[in-house]
Amino acid sequence: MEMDKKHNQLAIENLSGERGDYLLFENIGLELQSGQLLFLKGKNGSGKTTLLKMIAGLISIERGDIVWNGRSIKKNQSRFFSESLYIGHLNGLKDDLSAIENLTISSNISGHKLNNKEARKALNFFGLEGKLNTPVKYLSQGQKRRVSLSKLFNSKESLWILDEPFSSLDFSAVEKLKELFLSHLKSSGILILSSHQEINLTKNFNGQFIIDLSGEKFDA
Amino acid sequence: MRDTVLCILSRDLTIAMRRKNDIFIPIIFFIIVASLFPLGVSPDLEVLNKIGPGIVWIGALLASMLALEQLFFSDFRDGTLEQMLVSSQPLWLIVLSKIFAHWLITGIPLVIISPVLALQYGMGFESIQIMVFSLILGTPTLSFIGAIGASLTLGLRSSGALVALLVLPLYVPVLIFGAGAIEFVGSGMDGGSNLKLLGAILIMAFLCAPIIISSALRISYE
Repeated sequence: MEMDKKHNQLAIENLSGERGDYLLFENIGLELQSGQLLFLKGKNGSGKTTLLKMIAGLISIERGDIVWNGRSIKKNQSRFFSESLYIGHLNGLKDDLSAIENLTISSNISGHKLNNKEARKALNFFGLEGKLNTPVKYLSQGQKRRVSLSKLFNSKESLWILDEPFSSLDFSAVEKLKELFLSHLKSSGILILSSHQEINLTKNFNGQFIIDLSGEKFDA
Repeated sequence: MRDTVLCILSRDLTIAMRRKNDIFIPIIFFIIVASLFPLGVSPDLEVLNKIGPGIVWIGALLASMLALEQLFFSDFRDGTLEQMLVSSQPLWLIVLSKIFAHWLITGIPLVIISPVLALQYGMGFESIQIMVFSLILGTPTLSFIGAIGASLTLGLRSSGALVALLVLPLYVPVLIFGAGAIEFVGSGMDGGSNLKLLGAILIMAFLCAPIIISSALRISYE
């Protein structure tokens, strides 16, 4: 998990999001530096996914802006895409392909070639040994989620945007995932995630911001 | 760049090989449609010879439309389209690879089976030859145009029927030049100019469609 030690910065500027005519959130502003984590809270329908998709560059921004390392992501799309990794609540897996095929192909589509050994290592890290060559359709929900998240293991992107990463994961997988999060933050990465449940990455971790979309208030 | 193309190609081909009905339904549909006409219209060889080129082409057109709905929808449903949209690779390249895979899966089998069907209509060797050429040039265009329709209707209800309504009128030039080439040769003339026009349409589709589809996919996704 080599990562360049350069400093990264993500600025969310006066961002507003709506679905149809309904305003989900308004004037969100925040600056994240390397090693910091943004945690999106909020009840169902409060706009967590919309906000994440806006930050990931999947939904176009009507009002406000998102600036990655000094450049608006609207103008610098391909650069931003090569430095960010988005995993939505859909797993992005092909049912007919095996776990290892899914991981290699999905990394390749993101723009990072993965060899067989690296892919194996990532899947084993998430406790999927013995399931490597099973078509994903025969795996459980939690196992599918693990395959999808194993992309993080070899990730070289400095910005991770994860929508409900903990959903359907069991205790041991959650612990593994937190391990990855911490090493990502340590190697000057930035992490944005949403969850409806409380998480504690580590005790005394002070690089955490929380946006609670249901109450529209910010805590630093 | 080459990696991306190969990756998407091998992905879509592997999935098609594991779910064989994606390959077989269009071919069987093509065979059935082309076989209905001799039964329904007339077994008279002279009549069949006249309508043959048009029918083979219409069959190919309808068959290639069958798998269109799934072209982007299956990726949309399981979240892989999302991953393609945020890829650091250019989206048009991914789209182009997907269309090429789609043509290999649905277009090539039609080309291969078409001479057998042409025999039902009593077409001569030269007509069959030009038919195969016209299909090789025409079916990729069908995939390109069809993909535009599929990307515009992505995620809409009854998108299958909508794609047909949207795409069939756009198939008309390909049908005219494709079937025309065979008729020309059948009546002793040269079909070369029609083939050239088919080639020109293909080049235009190749250059324009991937970019159009990329923006359509981004809009449809939202």
